[in-house]
Amino acid sequence: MWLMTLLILLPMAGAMAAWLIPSNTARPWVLPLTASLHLGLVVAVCIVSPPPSPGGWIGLDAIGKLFLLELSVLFTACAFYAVNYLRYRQERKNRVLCMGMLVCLAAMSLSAVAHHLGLLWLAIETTTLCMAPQVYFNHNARSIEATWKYMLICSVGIALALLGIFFLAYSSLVAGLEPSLLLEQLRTYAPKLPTVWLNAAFCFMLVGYGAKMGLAPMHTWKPDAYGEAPGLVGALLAGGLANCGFLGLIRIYQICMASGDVQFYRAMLVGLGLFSIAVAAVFLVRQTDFKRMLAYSSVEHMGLFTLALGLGGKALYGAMLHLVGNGLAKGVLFLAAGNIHRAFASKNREVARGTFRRAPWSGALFLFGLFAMTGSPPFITFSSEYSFFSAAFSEGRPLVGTLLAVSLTVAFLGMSLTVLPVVFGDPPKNRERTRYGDTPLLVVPPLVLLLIVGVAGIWLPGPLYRLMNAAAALLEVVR
Amino acid sequence: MSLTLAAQINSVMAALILLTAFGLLVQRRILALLHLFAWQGFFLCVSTAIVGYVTGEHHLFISSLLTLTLKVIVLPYILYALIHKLKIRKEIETLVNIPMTMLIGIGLVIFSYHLTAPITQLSTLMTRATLAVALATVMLGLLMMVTRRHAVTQIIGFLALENGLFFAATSATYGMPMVVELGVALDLLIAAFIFGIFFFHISTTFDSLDVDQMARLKEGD
Repeated sequence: MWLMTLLILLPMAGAMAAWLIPSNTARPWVLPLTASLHLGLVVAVCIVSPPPSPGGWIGLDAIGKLFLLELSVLFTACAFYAVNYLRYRQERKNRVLCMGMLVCLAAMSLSAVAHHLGLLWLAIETTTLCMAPQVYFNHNARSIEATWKYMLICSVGIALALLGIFFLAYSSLVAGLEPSLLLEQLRTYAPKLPTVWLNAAFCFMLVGYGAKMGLAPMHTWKPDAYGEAPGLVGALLAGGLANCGFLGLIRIYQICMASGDVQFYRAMLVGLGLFSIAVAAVFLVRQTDFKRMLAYSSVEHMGLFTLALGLGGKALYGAMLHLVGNGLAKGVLFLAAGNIHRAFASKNREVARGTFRRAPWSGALFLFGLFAMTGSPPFITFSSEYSFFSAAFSEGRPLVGTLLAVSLTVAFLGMSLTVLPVVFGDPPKNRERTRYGDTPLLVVPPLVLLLIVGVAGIWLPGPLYRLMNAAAALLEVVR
Repeated sequence: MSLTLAAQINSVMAALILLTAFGLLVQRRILALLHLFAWQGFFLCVSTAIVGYVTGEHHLFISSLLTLTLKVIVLPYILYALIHKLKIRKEIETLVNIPMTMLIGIGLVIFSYHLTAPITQLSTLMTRATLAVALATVMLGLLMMVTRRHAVTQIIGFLALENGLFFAATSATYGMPMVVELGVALDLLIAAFIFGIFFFHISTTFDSLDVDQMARLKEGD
């Protein structure tokens, strides 16, 4: 119990330290320090498996562990990267950024261990709020617009999710049960809950957490926010916050799967997932801004998660693999994109061309990040996307499988058309050279993430494999 | 106070909350909007206190007090100070004309009653009749956010939506656990502060709080 509390208190203490340190150059070092301790703590917690708190509000199941591991690894990479990034951005005060990132880490950790739907909601809402100043880091007209859209759409979305939670509580009252918002309790209630109310709760929460994940058609904030935020904030949004939304969806999904009749939920998830993938694929083609491209790629992969939950079976294990693969690969791409943006002072593929000559390491990372993201072997995303296909065809849904294949192909081609000129093109002449150069702290963190995604695709360590299977088992239909 | 009387007062409060929600939808002057919002918060606070009194759930009194401080005093005051400082007088035109907005709003209320009809027969809670109103308030807040083009009005719409949520919490489960409720209130306060800071930045960058100005981020530029 105290170990899990420490997971939340440690980043809060780090945030406090970041607030107190007056120097703009020394402050960013709080980030890697706190992140490393947090990572160590997460590994310890995963090994010890502490029992849930007496009231059952806080507990750590396999899904939470996997989520925490992915989050902490990604955050540590971003934290080391941030030190050097912020050195380039000395003109800006970074106090709010450092504090916000750490508070966000605390809130995300809380969402991983929360087993009370109200508490989970609270943690997710907090992540939305404390990321807002980071999206606004550049303080210009474009970033105001992006932040405004982000705040409004995510806040309203999450408010609707809260309404869904009340419906859930109401449904247990209607069924004559003691109202409760505890996950385990609700799972035992589920078969007795009135279907109409459970369906209504599910729909509201799907829309609410879907807005936070960025599922189409609630994705409109995403390209703007991801496009205007600094690269490392983008990495955290795509690999941390989006996963928080997914976690919210997973929790209500677990309750629905325990209710017996799951047809309705499955159909909704498959429909919304496929729609998101298709919309993202369309926008990925001819995308000139490579950060916005990454945002649409995130919409696509959130759609894949949703689809996987809808398909069930083998796809559930794939979804858990993908949780790690997508989060870390997004980290690689966003951090490399941040470097390229710095190097050319532009995020347009017409201007930022030929990264290989200008900043070879960042260029290579961006290229391999593309392969990792689009599910090429040997990366872990290959196995996860393969499992989605195999689930679609083996569960007798060839149409879903075909649509998925077409969309993923279009998305891959679209992304390549943007990434290849950025990496291999001829650098523009007559443009002022920026003072950017690849340095170890800007290159090693994304490289480590890339290696993890690659190695895990070839050889998944035993404990991790068991953890993923345990997590997938939690998502099965309860009979 | 007998039980039925309490239930009746509660229904009156629900009606008043719905009325203020409609008021918010059609009012153009920004100060009047703030007054209406504060009144809505006040009705919500009275309703919560009554439910707390009848059911003996004491944490509802704290919740009611929280609503009073936050929704009736602090948030309207913050917004008032902002409006005063940014010298906002009158709101700009709404996107859809007012009679039309009213009609859509009425449609939403009927929809809410229709949606909640099956359970109001099943429920034994004294608050069961108010669930439809809570849902309607949420939807009207949403409608207000969609039809208004002014940053401050959009936020008032969002806060009205939150009022609806709090009302739903009392009518659905006699309130949330204390920790969660305090957390929600804190989050709301922080959100209001962040939005407030953004009002400043928007008005200095764009010279206006009309959100239509913010249309630079598009595909293919």
